[in-house]
Amino acid sequence: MNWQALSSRLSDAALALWSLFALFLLLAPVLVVVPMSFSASKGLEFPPQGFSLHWYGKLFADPLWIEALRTSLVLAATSSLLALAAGSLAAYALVRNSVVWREAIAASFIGPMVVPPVVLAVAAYLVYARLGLLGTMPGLVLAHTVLSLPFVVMIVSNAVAAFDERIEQAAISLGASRATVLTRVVAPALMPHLLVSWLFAFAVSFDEVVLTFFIAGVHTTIPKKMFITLRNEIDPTVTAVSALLIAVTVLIGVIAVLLLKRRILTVVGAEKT
Amino acid sequence: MGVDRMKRILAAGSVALLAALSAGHASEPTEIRIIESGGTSGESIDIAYGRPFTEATGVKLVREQPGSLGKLKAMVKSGSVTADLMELSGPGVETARAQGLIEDLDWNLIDPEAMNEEARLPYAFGYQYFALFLASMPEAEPVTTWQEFWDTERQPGRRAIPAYARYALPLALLADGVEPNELYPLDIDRALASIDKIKDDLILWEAASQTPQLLKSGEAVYVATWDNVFEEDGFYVNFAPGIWDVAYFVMPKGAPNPELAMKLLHEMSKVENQARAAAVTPIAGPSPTIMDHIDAAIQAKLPTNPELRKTQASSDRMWWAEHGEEAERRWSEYTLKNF
Amino acid sequence: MASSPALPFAGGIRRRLDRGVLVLPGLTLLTLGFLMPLALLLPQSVQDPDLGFGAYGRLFGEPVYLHIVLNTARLAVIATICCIAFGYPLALWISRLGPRMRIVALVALVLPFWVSILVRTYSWIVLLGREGVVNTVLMRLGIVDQPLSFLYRELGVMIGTINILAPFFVMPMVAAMSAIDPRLSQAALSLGASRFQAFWRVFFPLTVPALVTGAFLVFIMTFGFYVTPAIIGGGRVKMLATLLDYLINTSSDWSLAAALSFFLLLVTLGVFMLARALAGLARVGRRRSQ
Repeated sequence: MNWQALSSRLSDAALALWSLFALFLLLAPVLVVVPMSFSASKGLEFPPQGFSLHWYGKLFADPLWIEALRTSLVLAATSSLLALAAGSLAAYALVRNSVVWREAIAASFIGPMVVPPVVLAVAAYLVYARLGLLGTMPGLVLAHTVLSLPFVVMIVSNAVAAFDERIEQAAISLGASRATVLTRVVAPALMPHLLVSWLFAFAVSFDEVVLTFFIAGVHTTIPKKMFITLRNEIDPTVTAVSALLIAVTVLIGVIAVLLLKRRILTVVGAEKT
Repeated sequence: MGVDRMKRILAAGSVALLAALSAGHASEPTEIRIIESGGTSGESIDIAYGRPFTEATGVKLVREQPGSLGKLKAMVKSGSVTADLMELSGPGVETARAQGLIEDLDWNLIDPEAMNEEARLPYAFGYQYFALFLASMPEAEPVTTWQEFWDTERQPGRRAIPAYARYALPLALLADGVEPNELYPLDIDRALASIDKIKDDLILWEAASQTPQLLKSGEAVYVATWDNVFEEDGFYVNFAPGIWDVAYFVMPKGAPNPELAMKLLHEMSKVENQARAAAVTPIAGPSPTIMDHIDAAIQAKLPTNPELRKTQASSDRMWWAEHGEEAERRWSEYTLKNF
Repeated sequence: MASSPALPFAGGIRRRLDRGVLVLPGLTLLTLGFLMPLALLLPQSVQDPDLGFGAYGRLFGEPVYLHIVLNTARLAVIATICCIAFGYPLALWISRLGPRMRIVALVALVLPFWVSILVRTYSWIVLLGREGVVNTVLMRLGIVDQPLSFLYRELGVMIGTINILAPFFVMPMVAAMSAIDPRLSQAALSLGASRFQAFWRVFFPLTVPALVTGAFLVFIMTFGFYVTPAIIGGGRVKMLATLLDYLINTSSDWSLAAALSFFLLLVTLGVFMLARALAGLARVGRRRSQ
C-alpha cells in the first residue's frame, strides 16, 4: 500500500470518527428523552427511576394535551407547507429574475428571522387586531409561515442558483411550458433542498412560543402549554409527545430503507452515489 | 373560483358581519374573557371563581394565557380590547397605570367582602398572595435566615436565586442584615456589594421550574423559590424569612364588559371561594380571615399567612415602578461584568 | 449575484414578468405578517411616550445595551464556528454514505426536531450536571476525580446552543453536497490531482455558497436564542432576547425595544448583503474556473 492510499484511508477514518462523534452529540438529548418518557418519577431524571407508562396515559387522558398536540401539528403542517410553496416560488423568482428591487425584497424575506420575536409579537398584535386575525387559526398560520419563510427562501435560493439554468432553457426550447419546467424539471432536481426547507419550517413552527403567546388567544400549542407551567415545573408529559414523534419518524425511516426504491432515494437526495 | 360562488361567499360574509355588529348592540354578552397566567393557578380560578360567577350571571368565563404588560399595551394601543381583566404583577400594575393602560375599578359594583388593604387598590384587585422562600435538601445544614443562606463557610456549595433584580436585590440586602421593614428604598450599591461576596457560588435562575432539579441534582445546596418545592416531596422548606407579594387583576382601558368583570371580582373577594382556590393550589387569597376557612393540611403548605407576615419582607411595588429601570440596568451591568 | 446573462431567446421580457409574479404569494404573506407590523413599529421608536430620538440616544448612551448586543454577537460567532467545525465534516461524511446508511443518518438528524427546545435544554442539564451521566462516566473511567462543572457557565450554554442549531447547518449542507456531481471530483483525480487538491480546489468551492448561508442562518438564530442561555446560563450568560423581553414585558419601554430592533435589523441585513455578495463572487469564480 503506498503512502497516498494510506493517508486517504486515514483521513476517511478520521472523518468517520469525527462525524460519528458529532452525530452522537446531536442525538444525545434524544437518547435521554426517550427513556425519560417511560420514567415513573415526577420530574425529569436520568437515568429514569422505575418504568411506567404514566406520561403516555396522561397525554391521552388529558383532552387539553390532545388539543394542544392537535393544534401544534395542524399549525406546523399548514404553515410549513404554505411557507414552502410561497417561499420557494419567491426564491426561484428572486434568483432567476431581475425582479424590481431584488436585493431589497430578498433582504426583507430574511427580516422575520432578525427582528426579535417579542418585538415582532407586539407589532404583529397591532396589525392582527385591525385585520381581525387575533386569536384565530389563520392568524397563527400567518405568523408561523412568516417566521419560516426566511429558512425556505435562503435554502432554496442557494439551490436554484446552483442549478444549471441551461437545463431549464433546454426544456423550454423543447416546448415545455414554464409551469411544466417548474414542476417537472426544477422541483424534482431541488427535492432534497425543498425537503430540508419544509422540515425547518415545520420545526420552527413546532417550537414557536413567543408570538404564539401574544396572538394565539385561547388556542394552545404544546410549547405554549409547556412554557405556561414553567413557573412551577416541567411537565414530563411532553417527553411522551417527543418519543411518539420520534417513533413515527424512525418508522418512516425504516420503511424507506426497506423499500429503498429509486423514487424515495431521489427525494432524500441519496440517489447520486 | 367562479364569480357566482364568490358572490355567494361575499353575501354570506356580509350577513354574518351584520349579525355580529347588531349582536354587539342588542343582546347580552354570553361570555367574558380574562387573561391570566394559567397552570394550576388558572385551574383554581375556574373552580373557585368561574363556577359561582357563571351560576350567578349565566355568563361563561373564558381564560386566555398568558398575561403580560406587553400584551396589555398592545391590546389597548390596537384599540381592540378583547379581555375584561388581566393578571399583572404589582410593579406591572403601577407601570400600566402610569402609561394609561388600565381603568379604575368600580368598588361599589364589586361590593367586596373584607379584603387586605394592599389588595384593594382603586385600579387593581389583589387576588393571590405568594412568596419567595428558601428550600434545601434535608442533608444540607438547615437555614432559617438569608444571612445563613449567604454563609458559604457554614455550608459550602452553590446557591440559586432568581435572576431578576426585583428579587435578587432585596434578597441580597436581607442577607446583609437589613431588617425586612427597612428594605425600601432599596440601597442598590449595598445589595450589589452583598451579591459580590458570594458571586462565585451563585446560580441565577430564570425559570422557577429549575429549582427542584437544582436541589435534587446537587447543583445547588440552597434555593430561593416559589411554591414549586414542597415538604411532601422530601425537601426542607422555610417560609418564615420569605418575601411576600401580591398578584393583581386590572381592567384594560376600553374593556367591553366592565360590569361583568366587577361581578367576577366580587366572587374573588368571597372568602369561601378563596378557600376553594387554595385547595387547588397553595396560594392564599386576599381575605384577612382566609386562614379560618382552610384546613390545617393546606395551611401548612401556604407560604403566606398572617403569622408569617410578621417575619417576612414585602415587595414595594411603587418603588419598583419608579426605580425598576435603574435597578434593572445596574443589575445587568453588574452581572455582565462579574458573572 | 448569479443573475443570468442575457438569454438568446425571444420573449425575454414576458418571461421575466411571468417569473416575477412568482414572488407575489410570498411577498403578500410577508407584507401582512412582517412588513406591515414593522411599519407600525418604526414610529414607536421615535414616539412612545415623547416624539424624538431619545430612545436611540439611550441605546447608544447607556453602555449596558450595546454591551449585551456585543456579548450576544460574540456567542453567536463562537456558535457559528463550532457548528461549521462539527457540521461540515458531518455533512461531508453523510453525503458520501451509501443510500441506505444515508437515510439512517438523515433520520437521525431529524429526530432532535421532535424534542422541544425546552426539553432538549433540560436534557443537557441531566447529562452535564455534577451527578449527571457525563461526569459519572468520566469519573468511573478515572479521567477526572472531581466532577467537571459544565452548567451555569458559558461552556454549558454553548454545548446546548450548538446542539440545537447544528442541524440547521448540517441539513442544507448535505442537500448542497449531494447536488454536486461526483464526476467533477473524479475528473480532477483522473487528471492527476491529489485527493487533497480535488477536495480543496474542486469540491470545497462548490459548497461555499451553502456554507455561507448555513453559517448566516446559525449566526442569526443564536442572536435570537433565549431558552437555552436562560436555563443553562444561570445568569452568567446575558442574551439580547432576555433584554428585549424585559423592555416589552416589564419596563414597557417600547421605544427602546423598537430602536434596538431597528439597529439589529440594519446591522444584520448589512451582513446578509455582504454574505450574498460573497456567495455571488464565489459562484462567479466557479463559473470562470469551469
